[in-house]
Amino acid sequence: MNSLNTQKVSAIAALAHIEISDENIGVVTASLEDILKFVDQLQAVDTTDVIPTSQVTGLIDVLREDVVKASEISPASLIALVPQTQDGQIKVKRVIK
Amino acid sequence: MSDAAKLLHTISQAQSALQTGELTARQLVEAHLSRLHAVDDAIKVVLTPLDERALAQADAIDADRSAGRELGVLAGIPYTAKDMFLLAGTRTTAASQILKDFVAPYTGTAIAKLEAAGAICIAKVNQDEFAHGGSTEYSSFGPSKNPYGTDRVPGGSSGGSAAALAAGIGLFSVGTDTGGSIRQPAAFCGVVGLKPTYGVVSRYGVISMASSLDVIGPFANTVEDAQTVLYVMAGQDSNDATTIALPEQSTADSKPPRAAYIKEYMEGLHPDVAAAYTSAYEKLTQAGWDIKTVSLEHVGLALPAYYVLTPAEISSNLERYDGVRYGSTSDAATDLNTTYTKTRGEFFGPEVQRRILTGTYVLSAGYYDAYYKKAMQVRTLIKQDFEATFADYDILLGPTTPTAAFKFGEHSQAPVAMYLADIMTVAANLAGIPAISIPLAGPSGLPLGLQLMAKQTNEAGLFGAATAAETALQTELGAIQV
Repeated sequence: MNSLNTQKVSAIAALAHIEISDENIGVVTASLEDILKFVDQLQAVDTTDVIPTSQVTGLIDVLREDVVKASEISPASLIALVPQTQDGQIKVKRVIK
Repeated sequence: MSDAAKLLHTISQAQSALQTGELTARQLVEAHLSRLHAVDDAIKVVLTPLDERALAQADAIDADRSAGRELGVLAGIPYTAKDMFLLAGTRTTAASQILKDFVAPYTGTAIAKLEAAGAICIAKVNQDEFAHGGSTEYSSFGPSKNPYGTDRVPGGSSGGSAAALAAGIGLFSVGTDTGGSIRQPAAFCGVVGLKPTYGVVSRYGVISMASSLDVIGPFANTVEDAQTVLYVMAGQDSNDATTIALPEQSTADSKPPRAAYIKEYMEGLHPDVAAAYTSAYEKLTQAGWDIKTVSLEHVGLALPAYYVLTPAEISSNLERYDGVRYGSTSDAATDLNTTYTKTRGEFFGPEVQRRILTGTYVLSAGYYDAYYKKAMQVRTLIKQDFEATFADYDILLGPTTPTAAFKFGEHSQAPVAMYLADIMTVAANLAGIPAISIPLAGPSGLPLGLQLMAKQTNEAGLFGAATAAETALQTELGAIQV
């Protein structure tokens, strides 16, 4: 099932938005291979017609009244957490060259 | 610790000392803070001490008591919280460099309920980074140590919570349990650890790991204390749509539960460890329990299923750490994309990266059905095994862990070896059922845990059985080394 190589892991890392250095990619690939080898034992189980479980308590469509209420958290206190700001706005690096 | 405070091992003992005026809340909190500062060099559990805040709260409670105002059930009781819990105005790191300077802008529901009941948080404590691990060796601030042997891990991921309580820091602690992160360190450190039914305690204001599995629960010195703390934190919350209400607490059934131990969990144990459990089952039998043996066909698949589902949910949940809105950001970024990639490359530790990458892989096109969907189907089979078994039994028994606390470095270099520490705890998370670990004396003076499980929302039955087991076992652990 698993046929990882450093190229594939680099592609996954790009999807996951994690930079991995060239010297580390080999180690990371090897550890992911170990993990996939371990979870591959699931393949032997017959799961024909088994409904997948994504939640366990059976709640369906939990709704609340659609009423406006003030947040206990001020916008200023959230902006204060931002690493780089300008004029009370979140500053990001350029998106397009 | 003062002589008076030293004797107070449980919440109810402390409450009566506070009520009779034998002790003030300030004296109790001071005693626990001084214990914290005396032993933390040896066990390294504290990430952020909260002395000033805690003493101010204690004074307020003492003033309320003098004025005859009504007090909450945990008034003046000092506790510690895993660093996953947001407490407004205090640093909350998840033991990660990516949140090393993050100050929580609000307080999560569970902590708010504890505070409303008068409990006093004296410190935020150590854990594996983002709760990924079973030893605290993956904390980016360095590992904590086990009070029963400082060359050994306290377990994880909530290892700081368990080690702090075992060392006499606080009268309870709160942690999170995604695959065993409360029960496994509780077993390693000789304290009680409870994972409630999924959804019993609101996750609002708690840093997410794997949302379909994460639960919040207490560490305590007795089952009764764990019960007290759970019921303070429990309840539906409009800020967490997955919360459920527990049925009204019925009066405890004094009949011994219909119990069975899980055969698969007793296989392959070291003879000394197996002997500890056999002797525990015998003591329960002498106390009137009729303990049968059950086999759960798919329980052996819980760990591989867990290590597909959990990384998948982690990869999604941890996408929020982008270096833009809060947390650390890389100085080397040159554009928006490298803000993401360099921040996450620099500030996430190796295990966190491994899990995000594994999760991204199992969710990616071409692998989703083979891994993620397959694991969700196996989760169904495991859940059904438990449901069928609970038709015949009230309580399932087994070890919490296959071994006592291991030594530093024993598993930290091999991810899969570390994952095996969760082998007996993950199934309860996959099935969403409540499970508790109570202390048992293990070989060479190290604690083990006896795990009891019940069907979903049968917390009352679980507490009743665990209390009976606690009484029957009369566990006496050796002395701690700090």
